[in-house]
Amino acid sequence: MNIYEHLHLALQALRANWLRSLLTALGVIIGVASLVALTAISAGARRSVAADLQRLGPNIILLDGEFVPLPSGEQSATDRTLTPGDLAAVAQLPSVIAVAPRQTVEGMTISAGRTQTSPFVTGLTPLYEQIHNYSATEGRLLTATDDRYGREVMVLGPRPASVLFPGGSPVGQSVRVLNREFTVVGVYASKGSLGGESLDNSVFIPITVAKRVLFGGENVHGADVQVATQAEVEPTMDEIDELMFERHRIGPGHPEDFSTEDQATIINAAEAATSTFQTLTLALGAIALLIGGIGIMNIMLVSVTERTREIGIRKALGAEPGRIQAQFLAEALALCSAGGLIGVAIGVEASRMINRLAGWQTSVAPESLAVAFAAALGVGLFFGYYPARRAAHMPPAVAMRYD
Amino acid sequence: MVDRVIATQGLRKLFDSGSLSVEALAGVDLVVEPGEFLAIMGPSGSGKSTLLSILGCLERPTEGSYRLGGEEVAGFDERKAARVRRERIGFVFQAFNLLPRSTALQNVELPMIYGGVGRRERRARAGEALAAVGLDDRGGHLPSELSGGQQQRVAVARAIVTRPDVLLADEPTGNLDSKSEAEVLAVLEGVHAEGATIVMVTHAREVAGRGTRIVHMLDGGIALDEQIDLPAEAPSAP
Repeated sequence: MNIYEHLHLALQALRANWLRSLLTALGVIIGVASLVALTAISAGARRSVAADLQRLGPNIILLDGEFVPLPSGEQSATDRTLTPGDLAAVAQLPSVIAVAPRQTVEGMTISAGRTQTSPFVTGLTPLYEQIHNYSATEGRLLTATDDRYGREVMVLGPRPASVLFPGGSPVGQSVRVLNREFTVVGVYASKGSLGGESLDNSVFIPITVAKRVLFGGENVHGADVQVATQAEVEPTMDEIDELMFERHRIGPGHPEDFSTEDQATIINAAEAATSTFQTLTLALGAIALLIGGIGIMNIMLVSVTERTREIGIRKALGAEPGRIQAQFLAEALALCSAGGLIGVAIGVEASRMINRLAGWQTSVAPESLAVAFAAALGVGLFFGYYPARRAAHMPPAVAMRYD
Repeated sequence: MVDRVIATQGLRKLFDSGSLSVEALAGVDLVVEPGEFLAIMGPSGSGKSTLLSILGCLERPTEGSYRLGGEEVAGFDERKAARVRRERIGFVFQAFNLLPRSTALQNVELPMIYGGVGRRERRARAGEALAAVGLDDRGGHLPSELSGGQQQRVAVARAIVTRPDVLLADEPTGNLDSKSEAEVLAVLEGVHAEGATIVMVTHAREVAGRGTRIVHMLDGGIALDEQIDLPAEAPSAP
């Protein structure tokens, strides 16, 4: 009796009770599907963190000015606490490669003709575009010359570009900010989001222009500091802290008028939500597989009992215990592999749906499918063993008298 | 006397159910020669079914010796017993005991499947066995599509397909009407005429009378062993 015959017998037995077989396999199906979806999400998230770091620029410390509470109980008037001297001093630190100042106003209304929108308006230098790996889909980015000569030019993010100039090219068009006309020189490529906030709803203008036209004063409220490696991020943050404490004469117990943050932390925090979900899915998958396994054991025991007579007949005709055991094990395995296959199919489809509906990046690795399928088979072997053994060692004379 | 099919000595079987111990067989000595058609009779509880189970290696005796074709098989473990049943014993049961989801042909093939006979040979031999019981046109039918008599004939075909040393029949006509009974007995006689050794348990005298010898059992022992004189035609010389 070969594998084919065992399988044939097993499928025949399962078909005879197909609804019961399907319900029994449901636990395995759910378990395998969630395992597949989980690994796809997990792999997608890993890939997504790496991609985020690449997309947003590697090894970047966000240095920001902060409001401080005043002795009067009010809050300080501005968070633009970073002086040109501060930035120059930070740039002097040995590990620092670049310091890119930025000056952002949230929700400032800009308009083109009768259309208007309220994006983030950011004054910056080309260094900012460079360390954050910006690129232009149309026209060009800001240049050092724009900055030096204080040209009133603007690079649009994808969202304001599509709102202000639907259908047409914005390059060469003019956009009004307060009472000034800026000429659009380009549109930057989509950046996705950081920490749940879209990076596409911004417009860039040279920082010299921003200081002169929009804000006044030389201080800025933020700068992005790049170092060579991720390992240098932490120590450099400490050095910046120390430097700023000294420069701003912040004594112990006094409020800090600045903050430093590792950009990677924000990215990781965004992925932490995904990670919680992953743990949940893993638990669900494991529990479903366990319940599926118990279900299979249960139904196999029922099946053995129901077929006591058949087992007796087979044994009377000379089936060795091993043959009977193999037959019932084959049945459990057939049930589990069918469940495994369906589960894999559902898992792959679910990964695609999650990607489309939730926007999470998912990546289905062939190995993960094999592992999930193997897990299903393992469940079948483990939970099918005892019922099969029980069938194998049933005394034939007794079994045949069973009704 | 070397070629005895069955020879038992002091066969005892005790059934233990908690405090109660029942002696189903109390020392049975039985010899069956090749070509015999032996009928075992006796009231229920006399031990005839237990004896048949032990002769068929379905159960092990508590004590005593059982030689099948000269080989001691009483102490065989599950695997060895399975092999003996597969190769040297054919069974026919009162309740037919065909697999309900397999066709007649598949049922007859079953012992050969476990014996590792190739698919084509299996088919051919199963077909021959069905022809021998007059059912070669019913191979594709499920048991539920056959009459009781036909089902039992399929069971006989299944029992003889491996050409066993002995065919054991446990009340083979117990579930049949008189017409089907006649059919099945005719088939068994045919098989016997071909040279098969048959041991049959029955409680009906007229069924037992179709054999060549009747053993009467009582209280786990053999009470009477009667040889039936064959009518008219004498056994032919070789």
